[in-house]
Amino acid sequence: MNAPPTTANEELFAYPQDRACPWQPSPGYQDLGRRGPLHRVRLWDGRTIWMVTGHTQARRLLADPRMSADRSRDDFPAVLPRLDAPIFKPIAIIGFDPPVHDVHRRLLAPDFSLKHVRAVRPQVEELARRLAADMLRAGPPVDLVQAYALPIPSMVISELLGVPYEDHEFFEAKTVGLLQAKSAEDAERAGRELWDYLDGLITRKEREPGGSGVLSRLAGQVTEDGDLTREDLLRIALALLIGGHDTTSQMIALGVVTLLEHPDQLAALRADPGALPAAIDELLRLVSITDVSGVRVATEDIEIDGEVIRAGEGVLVSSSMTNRDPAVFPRPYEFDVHRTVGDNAASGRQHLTFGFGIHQCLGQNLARMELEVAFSVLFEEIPGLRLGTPLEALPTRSGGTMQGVHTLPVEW
Amino acid sequence: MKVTADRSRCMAAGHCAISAPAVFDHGEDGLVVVLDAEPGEDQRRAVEVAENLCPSRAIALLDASAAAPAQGAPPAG
Ligand code: HEM
Ligand code: SF4
Repeated sequence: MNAPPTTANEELFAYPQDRACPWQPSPGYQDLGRRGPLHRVRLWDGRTIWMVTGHTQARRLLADPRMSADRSRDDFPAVLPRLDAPIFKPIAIIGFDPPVHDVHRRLLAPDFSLKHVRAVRPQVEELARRLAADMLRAGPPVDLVQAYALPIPSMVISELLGVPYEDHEFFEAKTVGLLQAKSAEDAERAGRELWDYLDGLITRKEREPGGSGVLSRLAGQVTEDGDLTREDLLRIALALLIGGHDTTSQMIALGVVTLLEHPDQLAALRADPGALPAAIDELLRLVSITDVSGVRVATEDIEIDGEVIRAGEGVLVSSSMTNRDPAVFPRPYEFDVHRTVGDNAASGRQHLTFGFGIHQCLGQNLARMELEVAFSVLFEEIPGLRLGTPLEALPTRSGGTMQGVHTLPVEW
Repeated sequence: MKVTADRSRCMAAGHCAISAPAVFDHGEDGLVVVLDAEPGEDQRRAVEVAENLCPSRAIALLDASAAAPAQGAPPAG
């Protein structure tokens, strides 16, 4: 049953497939999930890889040191055409194995720690209130993506990194250009523009030391023969800038859609604001905004559940499906803001939306805080919020990794 | 119950300090710090949640065999 990785097999399930509902996995993935935890799927380039839909198997594989995240390897699968662009190989931290991964991740740990996140929360609240007030002043209809969902994470990450927010239109557009490109060439072009921009910015920070933000701090630690070269710093800057705003903004947007389409759940949340942190994890579980928890390549044969993943074979872990493994999440397709009541509130964090293993999302505490603030301020300031277009008419992104909506018209 | 946290494995994901704040915290470097290495039984469920969630397997509950509730059982006490 183990077809060689490059055989094009017309019978195999074709990855990716579009969602039919913005917060549910594609019907085809749902079908796969019912058949078992491990599947062979065919990619755009004809290559066959494994797709994991079982929660236990996903955790085991993502925590297994024999699985490599090194995107510069020839056998690393490009699960979408754009991921074949040179700019993605190697992408900092997320695309490196230990020891380099661990060294770079630890350099950043203080800036993403719970303490730091808690310290910046009041500023994020003030920002969200200001954006909501601007929306009220402008009056309906408003595109929630541009007016609210995007500016919050975008300002937060530019502040944290020390990237001037006045350049936001540029870096937001290029990030979307990179993450939604249909071809490797388009992705490379957008990526290079971001690269050149960050290169110039870091040069300015080198000339004027002592500036605020992570990039200034790290610019002072660069040594060409040490743990952090200038190229490493550029790659880290790119990864954080890209990783820091598109995911979170689309999670705010689709989170709002999901809440508005479940008025009973929204009402339950309004009645019990203390349930918000757990509700955020339930939303993260359900929406699975990146659709994928991680992509890897096996460096040795790995036996799992009676199957053998051969050295050199690619593995894609589906977050939308592992997050619906009924063994871990009863009534998996239901949105239930009180899913974890009666237990330790953190146990709702078992979802794999942020991945698992050493690559589990570095920005997750920041993202959770931004989401808490974004939803609580929005529904407090604009209690009559509703969709400005029927759900079916929402311009949704196509299947693949980064899910979301191009625009989100809202009224009140 | 004895609890350890291996700082060389910690990836600063922060789950431990959220699920068992009486037992774990984070240092200035963002990595785990054990506040109470021998917590009382009332902390068992919280520490189990932390151990389960820790993505880099940095947390260990040393006498897990002693009086550990069956999986899915309600928290003791
Ligand atoms: C809702 C928002 C977010 C989601 C769903 C998300 C999802 C993920 C996932 C699934 C991974 C693991 C990828 C893998 O194992 O291959 C990851 C890693 C990462 N994320 Fe996020 N992310 C979010 C927000 C953020 C934010 C705000 C930042 C801040 C800059 C960020 C930065 C990173 C970085 C640097 C990594 C690589 C970590 C490593 O390899 O050790 N993410 N994220
Ligand atoms: S849960 Fe694990 S990785 Fe996360 S901070 Fe605690 S010990 Fe570190």
